[in-house]
Amino acid sequence: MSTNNQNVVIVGGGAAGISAAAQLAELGIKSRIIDEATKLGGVVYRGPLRHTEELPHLDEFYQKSQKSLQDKYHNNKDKIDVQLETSVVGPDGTDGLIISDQQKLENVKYDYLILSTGCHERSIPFPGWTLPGIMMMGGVQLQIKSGLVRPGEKMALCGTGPLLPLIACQLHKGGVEVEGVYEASSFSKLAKEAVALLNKPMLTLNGLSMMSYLKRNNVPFHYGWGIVKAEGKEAVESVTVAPYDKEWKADLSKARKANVDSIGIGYGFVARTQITQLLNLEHEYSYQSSYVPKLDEFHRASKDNVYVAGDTSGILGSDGAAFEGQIAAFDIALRMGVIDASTHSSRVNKARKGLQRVKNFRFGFDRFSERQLGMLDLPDDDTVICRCENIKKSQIDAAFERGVKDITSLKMATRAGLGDCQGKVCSAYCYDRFKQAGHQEKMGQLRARFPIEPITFAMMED
Amino acid sequence: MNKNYDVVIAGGGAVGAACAYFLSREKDLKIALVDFKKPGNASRASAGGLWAIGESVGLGCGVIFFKTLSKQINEAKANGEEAPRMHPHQLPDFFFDFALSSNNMFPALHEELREKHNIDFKFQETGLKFVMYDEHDRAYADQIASGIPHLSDQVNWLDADQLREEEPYVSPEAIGAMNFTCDHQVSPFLLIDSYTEGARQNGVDLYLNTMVTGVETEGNRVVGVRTDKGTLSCNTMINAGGAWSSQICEWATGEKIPVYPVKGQIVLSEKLPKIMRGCISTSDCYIAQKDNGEVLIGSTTEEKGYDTTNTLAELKGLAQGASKCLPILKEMNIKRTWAGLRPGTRDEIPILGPMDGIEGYINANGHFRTGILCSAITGKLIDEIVRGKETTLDLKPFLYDPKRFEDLDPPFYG
Amino acid sequence: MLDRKADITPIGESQIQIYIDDVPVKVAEGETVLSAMYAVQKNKIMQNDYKANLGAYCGMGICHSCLVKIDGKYKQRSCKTLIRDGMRVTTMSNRFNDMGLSETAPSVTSADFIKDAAAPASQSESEESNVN
Repeated sequence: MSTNNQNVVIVGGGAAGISAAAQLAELGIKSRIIDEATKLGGVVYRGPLRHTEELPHLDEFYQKSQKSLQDKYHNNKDKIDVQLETSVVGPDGTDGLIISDQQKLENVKYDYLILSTGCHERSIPFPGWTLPGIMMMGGVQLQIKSGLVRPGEKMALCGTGPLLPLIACQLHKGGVEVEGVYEASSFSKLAKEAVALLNKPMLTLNGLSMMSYLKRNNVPFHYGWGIVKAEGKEAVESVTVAPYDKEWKADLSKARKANVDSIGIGYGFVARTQITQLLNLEHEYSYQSSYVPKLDEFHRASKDNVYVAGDTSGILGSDGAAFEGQIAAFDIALRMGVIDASTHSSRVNKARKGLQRVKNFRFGFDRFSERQLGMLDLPDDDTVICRCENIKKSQIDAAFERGVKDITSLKMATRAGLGDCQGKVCSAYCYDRFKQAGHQEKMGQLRARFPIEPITFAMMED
Repeated sequence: MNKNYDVVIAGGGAVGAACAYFLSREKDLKIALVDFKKPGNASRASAGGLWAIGESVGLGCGVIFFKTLSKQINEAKANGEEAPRMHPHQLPDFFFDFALSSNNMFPALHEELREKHNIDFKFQETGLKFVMYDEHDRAYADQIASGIPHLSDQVNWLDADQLREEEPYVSPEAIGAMNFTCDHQVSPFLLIDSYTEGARQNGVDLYLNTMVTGVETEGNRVVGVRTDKGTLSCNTMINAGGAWSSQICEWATGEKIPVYPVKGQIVLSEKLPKIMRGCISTSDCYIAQKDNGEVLIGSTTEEKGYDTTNTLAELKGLAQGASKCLPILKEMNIKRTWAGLRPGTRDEIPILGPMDGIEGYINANGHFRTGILCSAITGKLIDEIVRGKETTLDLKPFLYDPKRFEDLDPPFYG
Repeated sequence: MLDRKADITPIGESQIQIYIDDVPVKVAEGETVLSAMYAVQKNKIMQNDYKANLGAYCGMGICHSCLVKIDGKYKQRSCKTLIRDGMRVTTMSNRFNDMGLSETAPSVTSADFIKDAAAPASQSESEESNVN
């Protein structure tokens, strides 16, 4: 069967997207990757954007993984068409997308679509969170790995999970004075997950070596501590941290303040579901990843020819993303008649086994880093919740007091979510408020709207 | 649940909420307002224009159609062919009275909701200018003006210089404007919130996020409204179901009234400094800058069932129309777009009041393009009907009568 | 010339430069405007429509807090925009401020009136909230 006439479009050229494209290419199927960045690799593996002789601050492990992913692309280049610096702004009918390169709009049609748009970080509001110099940890990483610059000279890191020690090491090696690393969960909680971590011994060893690096370099690492507030006039000047109990409630009586010029915040991730929403795919609520599209075992979404792989389908990191990309690729290959059912079955099962090992490892960390709602107490009445529309916590509280039970009503009553970012930043907090109030079941989803990236009126000319 | 009410209102959009508010003012009735925001519900999608004259004379959709027709006529004449027949689109006088009466209620309503209930729905006196680009537009404006001689004190004309003086950002291509001085605007969702909150403060029970699932009748009388949270028994129900009214009527009466969804798409700009003094309508679109600085552009008129997706070709039409009128928009961002479902009727007149053969059932629906504007007069009329008082306006042309929808010219908007 | 003080690895000899608030800064091919600003230790990047000082937060185009004026165009995301030789970047610029307009009043939203509304509601006969 000729596959030349069937278009496979992949949105997002990170671990999942490249793996899918490479797998399709190995089976002789061409595909097209559309990515908003200037290089392939996604947030994690994009690598340096400018020329550099060396990368002293990025460990071998990372550099190997990055090269391996880049090689996947390079070895299959002839079958992978890449369009960079291009964003999807919305669907075009039932089998197309509208894309933007910031100058003009274009249409792209697909027979099969793989959405591997990754995730973004979960924003946690606290007093002072909008001060310049406060970045979410992924953003910090992008500056270190891709920008090759220090986002600050003296930084505190507050968050949870394996990224904390990793970024602390990268920052320290890059010349930043790391004032302290504050992991919200307790050490005893981590110890409980020791068995899960053994699913991926190399990663675990790498983690241990990071911890010992930090210790050797006198970078304080605190378990069971977290952010309380940030202060400063024009930009951040100090951070206040305190011990967190197991609900992540801060014990303010033991709070400590430190002078910093930069803070990295990392309390979890949210799947990027703007495109999946605009395609009207079915979604379900996930406490960990926020809403995720409903998928079958082959990562097919509620729309027949659309697949979702990688963090957009649920946060599993880049290892999981790679297997998921493969699974989607095999399924498309079966439907195109390029592989038969038994090949499909055996190869998908192999990928699933790999995926399961990743999950077993990740679930250890996921349990350890499971977000606790004590942090909802951090913002005070005047803390901005929706930065785009300048909506304060007191306004959100008033809407809840008035009996608002779903996110659309909250949006209408307060304007939270009606700003330029279309609620990507503040919706995570709002969903948690609904969960806390017991309305999780019926709270609904904050809908993305065309255009999901801002476009000018000029771009709408013919 | 199973509570007993005097009145249950099915639907809490502009019309339902207004009914709740007006009925609640005397605080003597037990009232329930049941609302479930279905995707595309018109109240939230609305621009919030109070364009009493504008909508009554068919600006917006009407003029786009007219422009095409006018072009066809000129082409036909040039080719020596027979010219297609023109449909001047003006709604009947009783609709003008209805719309203008409602319009006149807004200043006092705004005051009242502010004084008694501390809520402000951002009533702004803006006027509505029909901006003209060419002779087709001027011909259309002339035709409108000649159809409303009794309202001539609400209409004034601006030449190109006067227009530029009042609206400095309007394109230099514009040759002038016809201004309706009594057509203003509100914040649509604040209006509904105001009605709803006013009602609640007056003791109306709100059943939000609650879907109406049926109507209970005994013989030919309505005795209750079924919802997904239980049944509310009542003496009277009001069908304010918007684009979903037909189903509610069928549950109550066995008959489907011909209210159907008419999709309209909207384009919204990012927050901008004030670039418009008044609301504007052109042959391509209408444009209103809301109190928070966002510029709202609408709309389309499409019969696509309950579909609320945005389509690029239609959005481009709106965006291009806006850029043509206000060239400064070209460099501005489109922040988001959406679509709403107007409750349409074939004769473009709402359906109000009781129906033959059923007791305890009152229609308050079919408001098409003027739900926000006519919410006030509707609330007042429904209150009068429920209390058996003489109604402020003659209800007869608004009552449901299948003959209303027979022998109509094909829909104006295609 | 603003010196690049925060590079992790040197950019080497550079022939290209941009202007940040009219001051030239040497830049490297391929880097983003945000990285160039961080390199010269500028983290205070914009003032939003509500006069709040903001800087980059997500670093990947989601949060719209790193917006700068570039070559006359407002609200460009510095984290996503690559430098170009001669580019003129203005930080802390806001269309509202530049148009000489006073701060637009914050919108009164319906959630604001609840505090006063609470009083009349408690006078109603029912002891329970009338919102279901």
